[in-house]
Amino acid sequence: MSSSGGGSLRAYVLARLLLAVPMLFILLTVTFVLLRVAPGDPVTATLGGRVSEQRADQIRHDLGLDRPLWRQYTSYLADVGRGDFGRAITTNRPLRTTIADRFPATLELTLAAMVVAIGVGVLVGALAARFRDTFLDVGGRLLGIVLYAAPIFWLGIMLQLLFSIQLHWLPTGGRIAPFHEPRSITHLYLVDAVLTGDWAALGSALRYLTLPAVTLGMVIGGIFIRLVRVNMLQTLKSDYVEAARARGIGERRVLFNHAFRNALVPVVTIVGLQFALLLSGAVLTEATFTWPGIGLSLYQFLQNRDYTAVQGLVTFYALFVVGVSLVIDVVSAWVDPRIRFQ
Amino acid sequence: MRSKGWGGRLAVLMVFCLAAVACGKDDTGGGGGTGAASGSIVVGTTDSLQNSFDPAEAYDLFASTIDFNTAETLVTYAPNASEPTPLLAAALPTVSADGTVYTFDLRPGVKFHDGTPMDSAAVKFSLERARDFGNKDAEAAGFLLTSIKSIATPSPTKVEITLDKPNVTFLSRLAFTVASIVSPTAYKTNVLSGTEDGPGVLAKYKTDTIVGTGPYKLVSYKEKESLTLEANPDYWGAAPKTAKVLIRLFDKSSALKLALQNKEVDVAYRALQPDDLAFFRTQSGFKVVEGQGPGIRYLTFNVTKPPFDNLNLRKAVAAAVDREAVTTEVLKGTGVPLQSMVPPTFASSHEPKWSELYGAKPDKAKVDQFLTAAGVPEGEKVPLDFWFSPTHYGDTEAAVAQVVARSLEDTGRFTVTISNVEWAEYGNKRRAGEMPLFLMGWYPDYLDVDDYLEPFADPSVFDPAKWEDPAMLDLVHAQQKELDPAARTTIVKQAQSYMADQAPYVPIFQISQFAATVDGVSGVVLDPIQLLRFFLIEKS
Repeated sequence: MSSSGGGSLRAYVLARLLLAVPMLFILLTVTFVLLRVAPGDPVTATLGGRVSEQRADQIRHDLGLDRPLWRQYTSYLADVGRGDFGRAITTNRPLRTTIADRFPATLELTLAAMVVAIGVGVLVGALAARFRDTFLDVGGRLLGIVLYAAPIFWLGIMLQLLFSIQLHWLPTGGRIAPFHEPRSITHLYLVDAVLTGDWAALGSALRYLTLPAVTLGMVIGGIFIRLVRVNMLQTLKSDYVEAARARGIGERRVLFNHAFRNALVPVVTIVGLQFALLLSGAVLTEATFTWPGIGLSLYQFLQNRDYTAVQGLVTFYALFVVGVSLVIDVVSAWVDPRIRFQ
Repeated sequence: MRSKGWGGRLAVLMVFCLAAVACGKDDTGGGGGTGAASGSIVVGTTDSLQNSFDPAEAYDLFASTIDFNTAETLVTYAPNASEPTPLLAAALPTVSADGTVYTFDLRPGVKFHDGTPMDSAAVKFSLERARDFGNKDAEAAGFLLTSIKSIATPSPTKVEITLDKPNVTFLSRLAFTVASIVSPTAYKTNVLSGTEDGPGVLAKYKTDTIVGTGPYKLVSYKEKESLTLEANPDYWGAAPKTAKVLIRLFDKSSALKLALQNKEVDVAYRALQPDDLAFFRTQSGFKVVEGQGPGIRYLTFNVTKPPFDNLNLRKAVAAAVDREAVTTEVLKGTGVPLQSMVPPTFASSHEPKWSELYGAKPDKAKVDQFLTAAGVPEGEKVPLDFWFSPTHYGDTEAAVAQVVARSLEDTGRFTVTISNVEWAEYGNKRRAGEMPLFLMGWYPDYLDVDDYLEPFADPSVFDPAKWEDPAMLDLVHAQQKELDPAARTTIVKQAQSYMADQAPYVPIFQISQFAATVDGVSGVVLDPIQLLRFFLIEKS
């Protein structure tokens, strides 16, 4: 049995990997084409009016934009294959450096937001289901819709105005207080602060992380609220829950030990799917809170119309999302054998 | 049991996090201060690095500000001074009778941040290196020093700089950060080998570091995020007032405003919006510092094409513009009405001529008179095609354009069509001569009246109006060579009068400088050099 099960998992992983190839190919091609169909050429859009035409020509040459389209395309694919995402026109730096500098901040924000989303979603969703058709349920459902519908930047600004400007509890933006950076090990400030025992840095990093993570997490949390509520309701109506109740098991134990855990199974799958949504939401969240992540870089490059940099970062985003999806698929199949047989 | 165990662990973790946050609040003081350690300040800005911190290349205000605080020039401008004073030079130079040789004695005992001595060889290295960059790449700030013909070093503390021709602006140019003296050791691999040429030189030699002799060292730069400066412990002069300076870079002035409001930054400089400044003026716990700026805003005519190849039509527009409406309604006091392309910052500014010709305020009688002279029948309205760029000069630009257009239409003699286009395309249209009337702005490269005359009279320098007038160019070149200050002032005033007569440009306002700070911050000096002196700022 174990040999057979393992074999089917291997086949599943192999199939997913093979499927990822055309997916990647399509993603890279679309990203490449989008830059080329944008009106005007990237160098003029970025630097026009600030550099001489001779200099602009030189930059076009350096970036390979004066070569035939098919050669640009093959070079682009080859560069991405080598992990080279190109060079920004405005900063004249390799995007690999920008990604290395800024991606840890985005990862930290995204993971923290996921914690917030799951916390809010599970708590409110479970309560709404448990107290179905009560004030709590209506409030929870309403909250779920409002949070899901709220534009991230609007929610962010509202939280800034309340918690930073009115109450002065939390900072409006940034990643850590001035001169408080922990010694860099993983570039994830929370982790580095714990690893180095720098508690002041940990406190500061948590304070700066709170509003962006809550903003981003709340929006995703809206989805989780509705999902957990529906699953919980279905589970509460299932036979084994009724049987548990019939055996005289206390309602709290029925809820937490029987219904709750099973209701969370679909949520775990959705968590993975929401990761891409979180990354896209991170762009707006980072711009609102001046959070120095890769999303803020993308926003800044868009503001400066640096399309080659935008292409590089979008390519990285796409690869990352594909990679995460792949990992989640494999983990799901490993945890739940039914998936690989579907 | 299992459930309790997890609950317990969760509770411990939450308590720990709350304790850490509380601990952080004590240190960072989000509500009550910047949270910086003693002896530090946080400066917020919406500026960003455009190119490089290398003084030979840096041609934007932000990089120049960093250079100004970390590297030094032979001469500089003391706060609010209009004439250069010695810095790395022990005294002002002696100048040869023909105005081509400047001899400097250097201050002894000065060291670079890397510990190497600052001597005449370093001066020669730095100035020649900057000049060479300027010669090879027009985008590098070094173009301001291309008049240097040769540099001799008779002794380690003496330097003789020979120019290819007399130029009275040379000392002003030496005070600009492009002439910063940098460590030859640190920059030995960052020198043009002689084989490179043309565009691309700048990109190839781009650096994010600066090794000078200044009161601060640049210790970290995070792209589009922040910079950290630390006091130079071996500085030869008075120690900076504050040990550490963090410069936070913001994308939007709204974010900068919120950060100041929450006291996450101590100083907000370049650029809060006029409304934000008005807000901080009325808030307790904050103050607004004002200073004269050398930047000017003006209307430009394309004088090479109809309709504005007609001098009298240009004069009619000049007589119709309501400067005061722009400065009061839009800028809310953050600009001063301007009536000469040379602002009153300079003693040789000559505004009376403009008022005499066009009136200090919109003058309908003069408008009618000039239009009649231009051949426009009485009562007929002239259609004007007016352009601006919506973001390059800040969020107020559309309002500036609307108020200017309204003042023209209020005379009853013009109908104005306003169009706008992003800055990149704006530049293309300007060069192609596709905009008959458009808004522009100017920030000087060096603090001399020449930088308000030559760039507007010589198309090879800038001259967005495409105005080529030999009489004007003669006046420009004459004042550049005139060594006698009084005689030069006379020529400069003649040039301004001539420019007012020909009206290729209509000055609108001089840009004031503003910074908002939290209470307790002192030493913020905003003077015409436009570069914030971090070394004078302190927080009580």
